[in-house]
Amino acid sequence: MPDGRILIADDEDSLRWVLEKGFRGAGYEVTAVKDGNAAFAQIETGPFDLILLDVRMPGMDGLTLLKRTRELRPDAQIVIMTAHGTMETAIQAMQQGAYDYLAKPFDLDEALLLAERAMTAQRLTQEVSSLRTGLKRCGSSGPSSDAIPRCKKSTRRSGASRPAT
Amino acid sequence: VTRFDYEGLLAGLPDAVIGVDEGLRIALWNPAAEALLGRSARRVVGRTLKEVFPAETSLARHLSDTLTTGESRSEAEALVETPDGRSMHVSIVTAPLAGKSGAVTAAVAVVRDITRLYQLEAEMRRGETLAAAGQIAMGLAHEIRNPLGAIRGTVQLLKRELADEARWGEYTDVLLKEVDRVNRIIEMLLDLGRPVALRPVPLNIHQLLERVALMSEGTAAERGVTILRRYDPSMPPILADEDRILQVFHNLVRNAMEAMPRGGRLTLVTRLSMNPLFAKMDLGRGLKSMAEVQVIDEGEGIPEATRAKLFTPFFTTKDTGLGLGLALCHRIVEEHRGAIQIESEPAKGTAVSCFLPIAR
Repeated sequence: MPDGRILIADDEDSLRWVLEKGFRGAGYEVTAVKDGNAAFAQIETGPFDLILLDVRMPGMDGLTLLKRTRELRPDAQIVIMTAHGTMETAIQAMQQGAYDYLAKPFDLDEALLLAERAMTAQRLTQEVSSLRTGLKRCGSSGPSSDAIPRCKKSTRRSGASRPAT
Repeated sequence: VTRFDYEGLLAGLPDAVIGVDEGLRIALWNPAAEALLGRSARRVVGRTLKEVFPAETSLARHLSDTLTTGESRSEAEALVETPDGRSMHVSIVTAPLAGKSGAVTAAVAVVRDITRLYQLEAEMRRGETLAAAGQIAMGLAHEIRNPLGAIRGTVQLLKRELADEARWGEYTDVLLKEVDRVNRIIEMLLDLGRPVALRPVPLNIHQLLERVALMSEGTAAERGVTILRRYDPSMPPILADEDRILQVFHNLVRNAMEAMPRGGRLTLVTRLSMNPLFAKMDLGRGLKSMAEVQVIDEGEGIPEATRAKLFTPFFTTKDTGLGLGLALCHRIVEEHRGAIQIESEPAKGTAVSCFLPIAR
């Protein structure tokens, strides 16, 4: 059963309902909001592993929200949802740091799979960064012969604290 | 003062000039009239107008009116029929000629061939209609895809809920299949409106046509269609986006095969365009020579009334198909700054010509 916190922002009631139900059914903890401002308020208060944003929303559109979220929570994985005919928005979103995009009408299984992949990627990134921090700490402690094996041990431990799925 | 050579002037005019006397007997028929109306002066001068043209034609009616009323008549877009049965788009202006007494004794008509102008205008109108349809599609797509996404997701959730009862699976599968079909229709419509980023490169058109022919071999054999080639070996490379142009000819060849359910010959022709409208076109960097690529079938032909609607989105004469194929071909060829024309003769077949720029 996957775990993780997901935020869904879409002004389309039915689609929001479907996504909420689908992700909850898959075991995620889901918060769903219907506009950009409400989404940003949620992002400010709580960390989310994955954020699904519709491009066109009242309040704040998906791309603006993407930009502001990247500044506030660089770790969160963001997926943009679009019903537009062109790929331009999707490309723009990816250039601005979105993990991926979903073109409506998408397959629910495809969305679930994407969520799983996004969270795995996020965990790996976190793991790499914690390993790096650990190694840096080791480097600064000086080249004494007995410090290196101790560091190896501690970085291994910190890496294992969040196993990759 | 040198006497002006009126005979020479009339002979040199590019417009047809026709003069009739009081009795509507033809007195003047210049060389342009011979060329335009397909009848020599020798055969028509001295004959009455109604012996040459049916009384209801615009030309006969305007000349007759001018003689009776002494007033000029004009029609910006009229049709005249040539002896071989072709209808030509012309503009007509008539004027009265008064004798010494002041009474109208003759009338003259100036007939100008506007077929080319008419074709160009039709081509432009077609492009505008398609662009408008594409724009509507872009707007509609957003509004339709959102609810479509919700329907699709709900059906998938329902399918899961009903997983233990296999008999409901069929129902949800039909729903999913149909949602996807609606989305495919929107996708095709979007192709009309989407800005296309072309990647034009010099292409050997013969190699490209051979790829299309190869892909169509199976269907051709099934239908008893023989594919013939009449390629100009000296044809230089064209400047086109390979994938998009392949899509055009694939579509045209498929249409041609479908037009011959009892088999026949499908001819692929290439040549440097000699068409007066599309031989050389200004693509922004001076005049460019155009290649003409034709796909000709020996099917039933397309009736005149249908021909006008061929590029209209969703117009189809087939039992299956959306009626977007030719509209899309038009869009792609237009993006290449080229043109597409259809000529058809009932019971003989149809020829679709694509004019595409030469790479040089």
